[in-house]
Amino acid sequence: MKRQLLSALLGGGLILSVGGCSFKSEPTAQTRPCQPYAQTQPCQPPAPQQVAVQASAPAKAPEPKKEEKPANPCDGMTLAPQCDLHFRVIGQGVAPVNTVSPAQAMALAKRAAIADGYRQLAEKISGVYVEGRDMIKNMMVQNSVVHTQVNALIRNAEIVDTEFKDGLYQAQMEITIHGGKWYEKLAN
Amino acid sequence: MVRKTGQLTLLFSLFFSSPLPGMEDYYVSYALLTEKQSVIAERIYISRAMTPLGEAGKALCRFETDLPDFQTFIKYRKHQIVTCLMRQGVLVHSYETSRNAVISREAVWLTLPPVGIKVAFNDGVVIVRKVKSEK
Repeated sequence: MKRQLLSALLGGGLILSVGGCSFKSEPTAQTRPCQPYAQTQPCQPPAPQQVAVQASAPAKAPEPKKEEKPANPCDGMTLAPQCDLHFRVIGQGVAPVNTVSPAQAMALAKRAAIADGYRQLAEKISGVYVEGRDMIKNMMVQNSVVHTQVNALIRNAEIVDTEFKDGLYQAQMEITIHGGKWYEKLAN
Repeated sequence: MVRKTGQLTLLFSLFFSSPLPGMEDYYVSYALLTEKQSVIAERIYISRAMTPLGEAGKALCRFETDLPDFQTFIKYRKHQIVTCLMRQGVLVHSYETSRNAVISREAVWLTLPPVGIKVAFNDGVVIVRKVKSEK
């Protein structure tokens, strides 16, 4: 009989403890969350401990800056000491009207094409002087004149390819500027 | 016998003392005018130098031809020499005028100033050399 009573008491205690029938204290003002409407107690600001904890949290390590890659000096557009620049142009020429034979026409067209190629190379390498004049009267352009001029000395230009078609001679010309030789002279 | 040997030695030494025997000196100049992509005028002057030009420098170009001598080569293939010399440098002068966005004038001059060259013609091979500049 005593054993039964003892086991019954133990079983009841176990059931009580497992069933969650424990005494919980009501939420206090410090822990009760703010209620938007049925607010019976004033809202409390967030616990300062958390703020303190957040403030004292170790700062994140700064992200390593992405290293900007240096621009490739040999981009084919700018002259650098260690690279070469290639200029390639296509000169065009036509034969004069008063030629005596097709061969002469072709020969003269070739001269004109080479001259045009040299002019284009000079424009690219040495630059162009440009002078413009506009006359404006009563808010209207009356006259507009543009003069361009090129003066240069071109060396080591090569005729890469030629083509004669429909009376038009095309000469592809190329020039190479070696950076090791010309950078210091041209950069200054 | 001794006299002949001396003459031969003299000839031999004279032959090998000049580094490039049979060279002739010439002055070359060139001018080309084009307007609106068409040739207007072209002038090539090749004249033999009346006084020696100095020592021969580096070779500029080499041609092979079946023509008998350099005078004939000049007559028919002068443009080869001009093209060769243009690689050594050509003056480019150009202007262009446009009125109301329409090109009215356009001209290009190519100029080779008078330059001295040394030419060797041996067995159909023409070698053009520049003249060493005196410093």
